[in-house]
Amino acid sequence: MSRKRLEPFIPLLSLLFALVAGSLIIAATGSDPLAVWQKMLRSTFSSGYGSGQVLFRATTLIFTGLSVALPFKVRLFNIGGEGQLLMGALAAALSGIALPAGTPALVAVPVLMLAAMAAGGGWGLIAGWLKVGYGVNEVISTIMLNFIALGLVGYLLTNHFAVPSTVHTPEIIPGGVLPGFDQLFGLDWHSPANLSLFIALGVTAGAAMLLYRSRYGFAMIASGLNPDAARHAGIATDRHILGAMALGGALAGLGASNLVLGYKHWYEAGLTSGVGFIGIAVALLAGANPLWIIVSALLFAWLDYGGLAVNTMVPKDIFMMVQAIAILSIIAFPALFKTKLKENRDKQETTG
Amino acid sequence: MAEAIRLSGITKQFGALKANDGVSLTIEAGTIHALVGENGAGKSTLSNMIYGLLRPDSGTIEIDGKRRSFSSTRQAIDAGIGMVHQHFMLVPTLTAAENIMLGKEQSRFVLPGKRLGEAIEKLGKQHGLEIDPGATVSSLSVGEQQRVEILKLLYRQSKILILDEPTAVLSPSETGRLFVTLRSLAAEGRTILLITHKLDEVLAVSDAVSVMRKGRLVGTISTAAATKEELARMMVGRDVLLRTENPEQKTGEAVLTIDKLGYVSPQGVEKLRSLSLTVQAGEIYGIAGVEGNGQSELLSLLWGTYERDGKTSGSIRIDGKPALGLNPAKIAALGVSMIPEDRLRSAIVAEYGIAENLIFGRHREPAFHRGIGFDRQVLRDNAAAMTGRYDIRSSAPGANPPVGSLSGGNQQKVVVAREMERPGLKLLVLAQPTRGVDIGAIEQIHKRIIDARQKGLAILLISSELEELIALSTRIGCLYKGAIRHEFSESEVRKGREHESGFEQEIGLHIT
Repeated sequence: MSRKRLEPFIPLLSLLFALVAGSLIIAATGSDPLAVWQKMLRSTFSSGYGSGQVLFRATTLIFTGLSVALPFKVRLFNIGGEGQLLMGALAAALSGIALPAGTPALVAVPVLMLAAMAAGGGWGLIAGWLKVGYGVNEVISTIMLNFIALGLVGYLLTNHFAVPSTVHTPEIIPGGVLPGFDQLFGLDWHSPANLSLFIALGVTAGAAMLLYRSRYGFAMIASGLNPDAARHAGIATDRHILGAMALGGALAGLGASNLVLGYKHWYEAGLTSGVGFIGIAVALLAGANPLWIIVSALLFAWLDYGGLAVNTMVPKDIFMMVQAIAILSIIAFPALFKTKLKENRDKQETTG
Repeated sequence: MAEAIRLSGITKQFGALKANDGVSLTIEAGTIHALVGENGAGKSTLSNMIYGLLRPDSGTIEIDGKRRSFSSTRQAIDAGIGMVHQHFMLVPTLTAAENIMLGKEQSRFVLPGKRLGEAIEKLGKQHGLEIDPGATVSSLSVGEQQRVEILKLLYRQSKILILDEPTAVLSPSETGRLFVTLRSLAAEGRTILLITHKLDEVLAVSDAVSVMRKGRLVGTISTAAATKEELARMMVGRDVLLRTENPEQKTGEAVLTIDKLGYVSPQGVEKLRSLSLTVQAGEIYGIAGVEGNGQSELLSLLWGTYERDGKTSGSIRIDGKPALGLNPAKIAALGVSMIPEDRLRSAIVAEYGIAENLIFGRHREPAFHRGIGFDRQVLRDNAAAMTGRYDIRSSAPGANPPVGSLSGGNQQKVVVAREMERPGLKLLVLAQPTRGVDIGAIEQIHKRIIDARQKGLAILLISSELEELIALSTRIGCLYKGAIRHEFSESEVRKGREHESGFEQEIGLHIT
C-alpha cells in the first residue's frame, strides 16, 4: 500500500484507535463504555443547549487551531496561542470599555476585533523577532511569552481594570456585542454560541485562500519547505517568519471575538482556560490544513463539552486522555508507516 | 592469480525495477578493478551486496573462493571487506585515531593512548596516507578525511577495498596522490573495487574495467586494451560525442564586470581578495579552481545570498548597474539567471509540482499573475511548453507531479528551463552544471550552453572539471585563494584545446 493512498485515512485511524483506547479506560473505571458514549451524544447533539455549547467551544478552537497551523507552514511551532489569546481578550475588553457608549456596532465590532488581533499579533511578533534577530527557538519563546502574558494580564486586571470585588472588567459597550444564536435565528437554546462561529468559518476560508491560492502563500510555504531554495529565489524568508508569527498571533487574539464580544462581554480571570493549548492539538489532528481544522475543532469541542456532561458517570479527565491519545497516534501512525516505506525507498536509492 | 571476488548470476529487484540482472563478474586478487556506468546502472547496488548492506534475490557471492551470504556489514567486515562511501561515515567530533578505532576497540573502557596514535601514523606513512591522529575530524580537509576512511579499513585488516566515487571531492593533485596509494595497496596484494564515472581515471589507475548499463554487466575488459570512446559507448549504448563543437564567435560588450571584489566572512576569514574579471556578451568565461578557493563565496556575492555580517569591498556591475549588495530578486531583474551547484537544495522545492517549480523565483513576473494568485491556465501552458522544449520526463506526463518524484537529470532540466527562459536574460551563471549528470546528458547540456552563448548571452561557468572548462570556455580564469591568479586569453584557450592534457597540467599549476 502506498503512503499516498493511506495518508487521508490516518486521522480517522488515529481517532478510531483513540476511541477504542478510551472505551477500554472507561471500562477499567467500571462503567459501560457504550452507555457513556451514548449519553455523551445525547447530551450534546439532541439538545439545543448542548449543540450550542459544542459550537461555541469549537469556535474558539478554530481560531487557536489556525494560530498554530499558519506558522506551522513555515516550520514554526507556535505554542503561544494561549498567551496571544489572553492579550487579545484583554485588549478587546479594554477597548470595549474605552469606546464612547453610543458607538454603533458597525464601528465598535471591527475596532474591538482589530484591537484583539493587534494585541495577539504583536505578542506573536515578539517571538518571531526573537527568532529572526537572535535565533531564539520559537517554542521556548512562545512558552515563556505565555507566562508573561498570564502575569501581565492578571496584574492589569486585579490592579487596574477589575470591577471592585470581582475578577472581571466592566461590561463592554452594547455596540461591541456580537449577537448570540438565539437572537440571530430566533432559537431558544440559551447557549453561548454566537455570530463568531461564522467569522471563524470566514477566517478559515480566508486562511486557506491565503495559503493555497495566493502568491504570498506560495512564497510562504516555499520558505517552510526549503528555506535555502526560497532565499535563492529572492524570497525574504525572515519576513515570512515574522509574518507567520504575527498572523498566527492575530488569529489567536481573534478568538476573543467569541469569548468577549460574543459570550461574556467582559474579560474575566480564567476566561481562556487553556483553549490556546488545545489549539495545538486541533491543528496537529488536522495536519495544519485550515479546512480540516473545522472538523478537528468540532471533535475536540464535543469531547470537551460531552465529557462535562457525563461527569457523573466517569471523570472528565478520561476525555482529556482520549484527546491526547488521538494526537499521539496521529503523530505515531504516519511515522510507523513511513519507517516501513522508508526502508524500501532507502534500498531503492542505493541503486546507483 | 587468485580470485578475490566471484559473483555469479546476481539479481536484485526493487519493486518493478531490476537494479541488477544476472550479473556475473570475477575480480582478481591484487588488482584495481574499476566499475563504471551511468547513474542508476546498478553499480552501487552491486557493491552494497558485496558489502552486506543488501542481499541478492538470486545468485551467489564468493569471497576468496568461499561462498558467502552476508546478512550484515559486520559479517562482511569480518570477512575482510571494507568500503569507503561517497559520503564519509566519520564522527566529526572525534579525533582521527578514535574514528579509525571505532567499532574495533581494543578495550571497552580504556581510551586510545599514544601507542595507537603511533601505530596509525606508521600505517599512514607506509601507504602515503599521512594524517595527524590526534586531530578532530571536523578540522580535517575532505582529502584528509578520506585518508582516515582508508586507514580505518587498513586498521581492520581489510583485504578487499570498495571505493565509491572517491575522487568526486578531491583536487587533481589529491587525486594523483590517492592513485599512488591505491597502487601501493594493490601491490601488497589487496584488491580494490573502484566505482566511478570518470573514464580518464579508470584508464589512469585500473587494471581491468567492468561496464554496467541498466542493471546488466555489459562487459569486462582489460584497461590496457580499452579506449575512452569505447568505454563511453559501452556505458551509454550508443556513440557519444565526448567533445562538443565549439565554433568561434565574436564577443560583444562587457555584461558582468567584477572589480577588486573582496569578502571577509563573519568569522573573519578572508575568502575573496581583490578579484577582478569581466564577462562579455557572447563569451563563456570559465573559472577553474579547486573547491574551497572562493567559488561559493563568489557565487553568493553575485546572487546576493552571502552572509550580510561579512565585509565586502570592490564592486560588481551588471550591464553597468551596481549589483553588489542587492537581493536575489533585484539581481534577477537585471537579467541574470543562476543555476546553483546543489540544485535539490537551492533551486527547487521538491514538494511543489513541475508547473510551480518552473516559475519558482520567477513568480514575480506579472505574466503569471491573476488576482492575488497565479493564473493556473498560464502555468499549465508554460509547463506544457517547457516539458516539450526541454524534454522533461516524468512518470505522469501531462499531470503535474511533485518535482521531487523526478529523476535528478529531469530535475536539472526543470531548473535549466526556468533559468534559460527568463525574459530579458543577459547573464547566465552556471556552477558545476554537469556534476552528477550522466555522460549521455552531459553532451546535451554542453550543447545548450554553447547555443546560449551563440544567442549572445554572457556566461560565467564555474566548474571543477578542467576538461569541461577547456571544451566550453572562451577564456579561463584560474581561481586560487580568492583571487584570479592567472587568466588564459581566447587564443591561449583555443590553442590549449589542441593539446588538452598538457593544457590541463598548465591550468593545474595555476590553481594549486
